[in-house]
Amino acid sequence: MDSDEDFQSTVSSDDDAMQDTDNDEMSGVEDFDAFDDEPDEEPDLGPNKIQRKRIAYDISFKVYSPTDIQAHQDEMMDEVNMILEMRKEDAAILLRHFRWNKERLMEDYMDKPSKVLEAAGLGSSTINPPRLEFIPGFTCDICYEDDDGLESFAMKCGHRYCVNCYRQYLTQKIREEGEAARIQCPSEGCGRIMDARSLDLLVTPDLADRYQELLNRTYVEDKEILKWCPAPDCENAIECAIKKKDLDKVVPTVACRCGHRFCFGCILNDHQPAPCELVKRWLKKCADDSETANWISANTKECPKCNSTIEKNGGCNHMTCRKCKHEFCWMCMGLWSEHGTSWYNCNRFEEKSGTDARDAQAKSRVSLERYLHYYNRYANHEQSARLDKDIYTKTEKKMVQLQTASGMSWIEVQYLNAASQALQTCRQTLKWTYAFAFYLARNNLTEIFEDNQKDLELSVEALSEMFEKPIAELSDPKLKVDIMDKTSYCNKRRVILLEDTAENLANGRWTFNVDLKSLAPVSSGRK
Amino acid sequence: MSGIRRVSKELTECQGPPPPEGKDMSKVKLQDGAAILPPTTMEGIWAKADNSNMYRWDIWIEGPANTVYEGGIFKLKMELPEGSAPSGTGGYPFKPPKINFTTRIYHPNVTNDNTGDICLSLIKTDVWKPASKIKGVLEAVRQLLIEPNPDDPLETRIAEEYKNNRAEFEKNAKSYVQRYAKDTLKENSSKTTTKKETLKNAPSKV
Ligand SMILES: [Zn+2]
Ligand SMILES: [Zn+2]
Ligand SMILES: [Zn+2]
Ligand SMILES: [Zn+2]
Ligand SMILES: [Zn+2]
Ligand SMILES: [Zn+2]
Repeated sequence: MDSDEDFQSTVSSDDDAMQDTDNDEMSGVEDFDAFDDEPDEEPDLGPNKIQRKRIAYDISFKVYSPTDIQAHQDEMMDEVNMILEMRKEDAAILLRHFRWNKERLMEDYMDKPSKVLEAAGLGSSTINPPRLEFIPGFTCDICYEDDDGLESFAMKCGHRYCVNCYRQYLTQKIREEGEAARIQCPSEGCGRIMDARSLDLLVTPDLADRYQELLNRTYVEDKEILKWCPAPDCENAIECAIKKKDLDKVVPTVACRCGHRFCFGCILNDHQPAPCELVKRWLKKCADDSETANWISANTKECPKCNSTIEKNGGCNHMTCRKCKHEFCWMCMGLWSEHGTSWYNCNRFEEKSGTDARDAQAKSRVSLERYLHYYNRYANHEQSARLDKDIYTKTEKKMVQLQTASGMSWIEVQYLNAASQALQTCRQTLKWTYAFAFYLARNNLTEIFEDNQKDLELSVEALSEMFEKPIAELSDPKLKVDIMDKTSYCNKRRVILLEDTAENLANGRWTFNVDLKSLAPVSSGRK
Repeated sequence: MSGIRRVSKELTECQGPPPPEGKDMSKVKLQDGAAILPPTTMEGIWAKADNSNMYRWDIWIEGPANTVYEGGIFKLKMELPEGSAPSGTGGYPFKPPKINFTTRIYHPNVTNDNTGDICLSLIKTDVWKPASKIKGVLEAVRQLLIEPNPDDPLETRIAEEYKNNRAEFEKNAKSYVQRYAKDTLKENSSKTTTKKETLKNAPSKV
């Protein structure tokens, strides 16, 4: 469901920006350096401990490279190898059998060692370490070859086959079936697990590498606190201790070193401030109601005054009809002049008074209207984020030309990059505030939320409008300062909104019109 | 290709030596046409490879005595996956044989259709071992006729019936034997086989 575009639209390194936002002003330039696709840290520094100030919506996590993941496994194998005095490759099999729960492994092993070994596929062993051998008179029971000088191999279970058959068998398992941790002896009914050292004796280095890759895969998949970064071509894993049962209290957004920001709870793109359960329901609802809502995400609408067709080609929602010069809001089709004033209520859905909604038909109409109100804004921010990105790409090209023409340096035009990043991230957040709001039941806190939403939306629209200015104006130093100020203001408003929602979520102060614990038992203490 | 050596050896294991001169298949007291059956080392199972392709076998299983299938002869087709030449990787015996009933049978672990897929754990990819043998597979299929496994069914309705209404199951299974499994060997004249095969191969998933 994640398109490439989706991934790119959220790529940002605004984590650093968040850290700085408590300082009054932040420089809009150096905090956004992710656009060149370079990781922020040196890739060889080992586990990237992202240590930031504790903010309500912020959770701690670590990013691991494939090398780190390998090192963790080696460390545990060494430990078990030392304590239980077994071969390292057998320790690995044992650890995998216990899904890397070392404590339970030790306990069970001390209790019933032979039973544990048998269950893990390390039963009945010969003493000699496995090696390739020529045995006179040997016939392979797989290929039935009996040539003199046929090299053969047996694991500790003693089931001996020729090396050619072993190689074919292992190739089949690893390459075709993607199996690694549970490759058994080729003998029927024998549960002996293929160990890494035996494998190394038998296969080519590139197959052994693939085997190791698959083992790493199982390692991450076996551990609940580890998850792969879902970005295409990213090989990192993220460690985060968030528990499934806490997903109604926190939205665990993590950021990979590759720049991808995603939710550790459900692996979808960052969806703060909406909790996973709401996101799941919302996406399902949108998919179910896609036809009803389709017209909204269309790129063209009619001018509310003269009915001429208006096409949206930038992210900004402040529309001016080319024909009649009518200024209106793309989202609510209302007068733009009312936006940005105390009259602004574009983000809020006005519940109709009871008299309107007496009969069932009227009720269902109101509920559809309510859904469309939120869906409209949700879809619009998604679309705008895409259009903002297009604008940036176009602008970037022009900036290159401008550089040569005006003598501005690449560094000096980076403020546009920062603005583009802020627009993407803030729209991503805004988008989800509307799904959040859809499920939010009114209480004394909703007004603060809506105010925060409004403030963020207004500043984002203002930035978006500046951002779309023609290239000639963009090089104006005054506009540059304005854009930089607005960029930092947007980021700040986003932090404020997220802090408020996260804090109330953590403390169970929101009332939702659906049950966030739909899958888990409902705790009686909460409303 | 090393696979051929193994396959022909396995065929010999299944068929045993040809019968001594003068002694023919007539000890097999089956219906007309029993003469097409090759010698066998197995109880109630006969196996024969295609003349042109060692990797395709015809199998006949006699309905075991004291089962609902008694009195029927069931024909099966077995295909051994051929690996990619020249190394033969990915073929038999590194991949399990594919085996299907071509005679319709009323059984919880066999699809009640023209494909005749069998649910047998031994030949599932993650259970199969290269050292497993065809003979064992065929014997396991016959064992399935003696002892169906309704807890791992391909036909849930038949499995339910087997568990909860044995009389009805037996009635249905026996009527299938009468309808489909009586003239299996007679049918084997080349003409009917081709006809039946084209019919059967059309919807099957290879
Ligand atoms: Zn061999
Ligand atoms: Zn073994
Ligand atoms: Zn990543
Ligand atoms: Zn989530
Ligand atoms: Zn107009
Ligand atoms: Zn509006």
